Amino acid sequence: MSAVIEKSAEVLVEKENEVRLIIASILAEGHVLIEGVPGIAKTLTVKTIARLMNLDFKRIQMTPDLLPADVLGGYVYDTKQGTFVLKKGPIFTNVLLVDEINRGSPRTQSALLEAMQEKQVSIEGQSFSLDKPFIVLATQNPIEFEGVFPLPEAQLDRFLAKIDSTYTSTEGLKKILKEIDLIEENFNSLKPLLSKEDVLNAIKEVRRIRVDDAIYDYVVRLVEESRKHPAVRLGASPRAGIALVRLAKALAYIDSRRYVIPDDIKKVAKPVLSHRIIIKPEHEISGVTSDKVIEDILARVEVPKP
Amino acid sequence: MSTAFKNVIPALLLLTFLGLSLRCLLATAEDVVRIHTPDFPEYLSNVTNETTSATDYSEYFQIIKELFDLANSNVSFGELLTNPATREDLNELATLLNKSGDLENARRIEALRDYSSLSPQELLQSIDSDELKDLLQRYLESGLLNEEILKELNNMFLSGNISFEDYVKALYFLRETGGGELAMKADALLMSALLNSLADSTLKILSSANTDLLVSENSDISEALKSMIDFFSRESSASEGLANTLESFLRSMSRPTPSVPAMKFPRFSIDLPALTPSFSLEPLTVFLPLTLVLAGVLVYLITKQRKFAAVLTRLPVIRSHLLEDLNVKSEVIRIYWSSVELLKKRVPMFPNETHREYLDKVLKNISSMGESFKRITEAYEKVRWGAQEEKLFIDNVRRAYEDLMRGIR
Repeated sequence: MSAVIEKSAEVLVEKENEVRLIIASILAEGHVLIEGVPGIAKTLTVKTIARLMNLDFKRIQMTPDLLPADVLGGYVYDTKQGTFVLKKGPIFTNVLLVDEINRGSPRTQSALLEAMQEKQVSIEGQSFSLDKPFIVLATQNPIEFEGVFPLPEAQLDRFLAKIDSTYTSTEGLKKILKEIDLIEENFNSLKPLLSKEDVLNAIKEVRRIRVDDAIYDYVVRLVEESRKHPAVRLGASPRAGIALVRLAKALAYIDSRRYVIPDDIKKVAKPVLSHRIIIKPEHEISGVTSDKVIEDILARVEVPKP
Repeated sequence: MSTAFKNVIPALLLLTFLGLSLRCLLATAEDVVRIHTPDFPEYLSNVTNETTSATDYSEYFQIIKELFDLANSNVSFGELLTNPATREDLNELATLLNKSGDLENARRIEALRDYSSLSPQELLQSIDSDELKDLLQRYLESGLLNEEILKELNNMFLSGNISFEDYVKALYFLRETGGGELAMKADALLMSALLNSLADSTLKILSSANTDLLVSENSDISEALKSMIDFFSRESSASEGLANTLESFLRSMSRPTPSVPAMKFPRFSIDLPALTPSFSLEPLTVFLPLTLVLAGVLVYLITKQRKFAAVLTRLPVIRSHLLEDLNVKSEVIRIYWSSVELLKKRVPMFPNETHREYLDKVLKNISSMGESFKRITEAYEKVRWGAQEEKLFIDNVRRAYEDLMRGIR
């Protein structure tokens, strides 16, 4: 996995943390919500990872008139055969990039999110399992309010992690401007470093990563503390706790460790909890964000000792 | 030798060293008790006049005697200053008073000595007080220089409106410009200013010095005092008080002083056990070299002999209350937390910090010990969180801990 991260750096500038988290999410079999303004290489990041990991990649641009069938697929009449044949939608892939997920109608969002959770789709009463691995990388623009359908809290909880994609630094931007042609060349010449089987084996290995009992206690304390925090309206769910452990295990695997350390939990706390913790409006107005609350929780909760 | 035996020898050496150190401390306390007068507050034994010695007094009082003898023989201040020997005496007096810390009188004597060389114009210009300048100018312009001005000048000085320096400058100015009786009176006032300063400095010395020492070693002092008393008793009624004070000093010096100080503070007495041990104690001179030798041996053992160092380095592990609370069996984990306990004094560890975060802090703040602590931390992580067998790391961790202890020392 470290080779994938290193190779992706030839195409992606200052995206190592995002790449690491996305790969960890793939290994933890979770979906990722990428929040960021347009033009910051969200699609390129996902494409690069999919290509390097030799995973099938598809993309959906969500619009208000997009129907569930446009995502899932459906039966269409084949005039040659004279019967209805199944036309699978873009969801039948390994890595699905859903651009601007909050532009899709709630009906389409719901169909997509259900498929994400169940890892299978029902078309005309018939169930179809999705390919393994299956990961949805959904993007949303945080500054849009018009013509969007914000994801409900329950559906946000389905995403394993949320990554805040930000602008590059000044030096990073200069590097992009100077080397854009080379970056494009590098992207076109990218060759897979892994096979799909390697990825599936890695997923199995991640499940075997050791987690000490004290780490579970630590996660429990973090989750419970998030519910007690005075600025929080809705704290972390049990699913959030599961996500913390899974993503931490994947990070440990990427770091070539066979065990989780408290640092892993701390590293994944923000990506896992930030979209799950809902701040009280009165605190939100005064500038309290979920990231600040998580920092506060991490500062309050004692790291397991000895 | 078995490990237990190897550990006992250094421990015994350490105990011997500590015992001897304690013994030295007791011997010192005992000596303090011996030199003290019973019931006399101990802190007073340290009160000594560090700046003035018996020799200084002797020289000082010889000069004082000479000057007051001259004053008693009606020598004018002008004559006094024109005599090179007397000027030399004044120089010497100023130096002695400066050394003894009586800076005020030293400054006064220097002023009296130095302003004599200034011209009337220079004297007038150098006066700081505008009021005094105006007064002198007024008298000078009116041509009515008489004794009234001396009265006004004395009043200004005694009321604190002008400094001693301005007072002396004015007197010199009047002595130079007044002529006749006024000049003579100004000269007499200058002489009084000098002798009053000398009397003041003498009283200060007599008040602070050990009178026993003065009387027994310097008969010149009593001679000087007699001469001063002669001068002040016939000078004026105002000086009588000063003469009486000097006389009482002289009387107290001629009377034998009690060997035990009369000053005894009332106090509640509680029968505490004596500080001095019942067994006989050898002098400190025997124990001090022995202690130094043992300390040298101990330092050698700590620095050169790894096995001995290992005994000491394990002590914090045994002492650590943290580990007693945690009841940790793994030695690697024990060593890690012992290291943290040691390093915490320099780099604090917060409860919400992980072992890696703490390592980063240590590497940043104490890079000299960072490498050893890094080795310990890496092993701790593998044993604690990875549940790996500690026998794979224990030797390396012990060595790293020894290095760390050496670094801390």
